[in-house]
Amino acid sequence: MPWWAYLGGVFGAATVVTASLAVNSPLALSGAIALGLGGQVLFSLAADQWGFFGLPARRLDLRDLMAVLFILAGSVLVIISGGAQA
Amino acid sequence: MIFSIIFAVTAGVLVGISRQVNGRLSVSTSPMMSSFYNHIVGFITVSVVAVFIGGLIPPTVSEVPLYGYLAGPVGVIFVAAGSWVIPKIGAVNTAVLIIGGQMFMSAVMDVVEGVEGQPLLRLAGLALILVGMIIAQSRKKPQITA
Repeated sequence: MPWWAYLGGVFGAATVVTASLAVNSPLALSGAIALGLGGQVLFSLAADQWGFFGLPARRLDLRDLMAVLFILAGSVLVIISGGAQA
Repeated sequence: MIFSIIFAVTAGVLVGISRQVNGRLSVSTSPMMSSFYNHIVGFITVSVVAVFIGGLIPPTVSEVPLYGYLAGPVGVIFVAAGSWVIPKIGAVNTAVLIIGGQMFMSAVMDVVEGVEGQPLLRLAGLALILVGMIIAQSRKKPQITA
């Protein structure tokens, strides 16, 4: 097993720092969440396509893109509908 | 503003990296073991950072209700679950299903707590999320290419 497999927590901690910087900015909570979800989904598409960090690569198909589009569009609606603060 | 946008997108990418790395650890050990190392390494990292920039114990710490500390135990299950599913269904499905569940729960909590909002827009959003989740889980066996 590669040594870096133990370092997931470092990235988790870095997430908290960058996320709080984004939330306490002109983006506000909803903008930070929307952009964060976007970054997460874009990364996951690349991770599956090329098999990042030793996990199996998976060929992306139309169904993946449809699922991504529906869930991101729905998330944006929930975010702008007011309260929803994930 | 451009830096704020970079920070927000980076936070999302870091979530993905963390899940990917924990998933790799889980393949060689177990989901609970990967959650254990995620939290112990994260704890050490945050402690070291706190020594340099402070803020670990804010002055208002005594006002935090007891349930405010329950996110940790929930996080243990959350990380273990993510590590368990990501090698099985891939990064996209894992990310998209977690996001769907998260938005669904936050909307439900807003309705329960009576938070102001536009109910129709919220319902439309939830409907789209539901359709996306059905599409994501309706796939045949994942095609492993490497």
